[in-house]
Amino acid sequence: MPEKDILKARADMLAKPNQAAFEKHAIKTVGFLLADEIYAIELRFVREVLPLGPLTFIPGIPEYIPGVINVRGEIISVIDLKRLFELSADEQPDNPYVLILSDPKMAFGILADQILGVREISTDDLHPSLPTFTGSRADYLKGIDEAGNIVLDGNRLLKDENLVINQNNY
Amino acid sequence: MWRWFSKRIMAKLITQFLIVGLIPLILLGGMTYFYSQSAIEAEASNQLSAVNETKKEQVVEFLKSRMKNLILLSRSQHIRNMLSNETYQGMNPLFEYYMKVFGYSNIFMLSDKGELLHQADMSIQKGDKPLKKNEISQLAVISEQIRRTEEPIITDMINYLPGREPGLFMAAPVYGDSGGLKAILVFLIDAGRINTITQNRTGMRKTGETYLVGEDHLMRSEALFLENGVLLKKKIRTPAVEQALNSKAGIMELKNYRDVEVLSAYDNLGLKKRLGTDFDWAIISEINSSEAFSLLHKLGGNILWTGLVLLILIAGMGYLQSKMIARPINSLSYRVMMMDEGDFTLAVPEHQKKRSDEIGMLMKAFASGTQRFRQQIKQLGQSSRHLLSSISQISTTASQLSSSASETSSSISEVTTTVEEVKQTSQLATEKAEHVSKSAENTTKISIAGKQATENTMAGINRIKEEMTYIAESTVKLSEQSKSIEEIINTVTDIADQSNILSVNASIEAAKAGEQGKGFAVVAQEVKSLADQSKEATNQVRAILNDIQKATSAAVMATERGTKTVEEAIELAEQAGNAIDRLELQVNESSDAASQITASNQQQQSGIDQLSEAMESINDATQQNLEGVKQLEDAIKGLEDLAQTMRDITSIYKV
Repeated sequence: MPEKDILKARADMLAKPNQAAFEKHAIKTVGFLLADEIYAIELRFVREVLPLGPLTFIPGIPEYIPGVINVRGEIISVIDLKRLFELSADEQPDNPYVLILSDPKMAFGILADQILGVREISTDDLHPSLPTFTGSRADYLKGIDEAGNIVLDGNRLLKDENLVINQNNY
Repeated sequence: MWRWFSKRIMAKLITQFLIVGLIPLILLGGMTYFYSQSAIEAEASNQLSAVNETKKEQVVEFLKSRMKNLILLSRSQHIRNMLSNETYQGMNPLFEYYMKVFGYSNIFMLSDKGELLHQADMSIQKGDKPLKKNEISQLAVISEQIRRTEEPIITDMINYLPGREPGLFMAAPVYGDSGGLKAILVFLIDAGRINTITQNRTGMRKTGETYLVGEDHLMRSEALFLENGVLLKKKIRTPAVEQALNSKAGIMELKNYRDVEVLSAYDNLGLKKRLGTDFDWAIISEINSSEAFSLLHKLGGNILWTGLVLLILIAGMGYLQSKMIARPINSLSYRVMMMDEGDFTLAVPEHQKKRSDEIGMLMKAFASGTQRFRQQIKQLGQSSRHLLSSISQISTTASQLSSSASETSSSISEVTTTVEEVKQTSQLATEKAEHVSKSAENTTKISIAGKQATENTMAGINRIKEEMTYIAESTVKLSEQSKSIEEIINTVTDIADQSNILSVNASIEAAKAGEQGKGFAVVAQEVKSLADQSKEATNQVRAILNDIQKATSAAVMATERGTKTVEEAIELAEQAGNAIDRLELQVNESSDAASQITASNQQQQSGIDQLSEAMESINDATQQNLEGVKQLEDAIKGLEDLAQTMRDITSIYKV
């Protein structure tokens, strides 16, 4: 049955790894640039991505919050992770973007220099944090993938009480 | 040395004087010395022989007389009486008298048996005892002999007693009145007695001496130069002694017992013959040769001294004489030698001229002759100098003449050459002028063509200018359009970015939709890839656009430069046109000038030919002139040589 063999070989050649097995551990992330470093955050925490509109400055709030934006009538506060992580903030891009993070309780935007797109990462490939990652940044880190991209933990960011600003904090 | 000697008159003269003086002196002195020597030697020998003879006779006479004395006494009645009376003591006065007068040391009386009967001098003792009868053995011998022969005898000298001076005994028999030997009378004569005879120094001078030697070669008398006591102890064996002991007499020179050269006269005393003894003595008289011949030595010394004095006198005389003769000759010789070397300046000393003898005349004649010669040479020298200076003036003039003639000649030949060159040059000039006029025509044609070409060039360049302007405008337009393209590209880029965001949001929405949104997620992914591709494309377009923009601006610049260059070219072309116009004008003028040059050159050439001929004839004349000057110079040279020779001859002499 030579025809059968040929077909079999073709089938083997075209066969793909088990997607389901892969998907067990795969997470979808949105990649973005912060001060020439590639960061990623899980897609499920991102509500939407949009170019940064006009920022409204709010006096008396921490430095890492440059202001608030209006997204279709909703007021969303914006956090500058570069300032929060104390990264070099010398260059401000011409047209920055905002990633709106949300969960049922909380919603805020983070500034990104550029949006790189959606990507799947295997959690098995994630390495724990490096010793070079220090300060507040380490607290929000989920891990570092093989390509050296920094994967942020969206859950922690959203749940962090420190980032919530109310009058009690002052 | 010999050379020096043979060259000096003075030395020769002195030597001859010395030879003439010395030869007779040496001959005379030598002969005198020789003859005197033999005479003096003979005289000394004779004297010594005489002394020896005298001494010999004295000794012999002494012995003889004592013998006679003995015999007389032995035969005297007085003795006989006393013998017969046996009164020996009575003999003493007589004996003492004898001893005193004749110098006997002792007188013994022996019996006919040989016994000692009496001795006159009792002091002869042996030790401190009186002499016993047979103490002196010699006496026994004597008495024995007397008894046998009954003849008187003399014994040789003998040491008869130890401690006593040696002596000789004389003995004679004493006969009784009835005949027959009664007693023997013995005289003892000390050696000193005979010694006084030999030691007598009459006629002996300082070193003369006489001594006696017995047949046993022992001395029988003391010697002058030896200590006393050599008697019978020292043996002498000189040839003279040997001769004398052989009964020969004579005289000879020898070395004696003192090892001194002596003249020795020897003789035999002849006692055996004359006194009938059984012994004999030699008598020797000696005198040191030096003393014996002292007169000779003195004579020699005197001759030598006289000779020396004479020698000095002769040398002095010779020196003076030779000085008188040799000095002037030397001085003359030196002057003549100097004359030989050319020096006439030495004058003859005045004192030599003053002499009145032949030398004086010679000196005077020499001086006046030299003087005249000097004057002549001086005049000759002056004349030659004058001649020489005149000749040198003439020579200078001649050489000036010669050099000017040569200069003229060379100038003429230069002029001739120059004329020839001028001729050639003018011919060349004619040719060149013709060539120039031809060239001028050609040039006129070429310049017209050049003018046409310049005009064409101008037209071409103007067209290029127009094209350049069009290119510039197009380029500017291109630049503007590329800017619009850039705007479009930016817009596309924005769209691509927004598409990208859109795709992300779509993905988010798809995720939210869960399983239902999966298809939508794929769509979102495709949207994203489209956005990426469009972005990539815009980037490429932008790069190309950049290149275009760069090229455009380079083109704009190049166009500008081209425009400028074209403008310059137009200007240059215009200048070229002008230049060609001027060139044409000039060429025409040159052509005219060339024609004129040709005409004038022809005239010039005929003039040059005439000049050339004239120069030729001048040259000939100058050549003749030069030859004449050369002959003149040769003649002057000969004259100069002559004058030079003359001056050289005169200059050899110092006057």
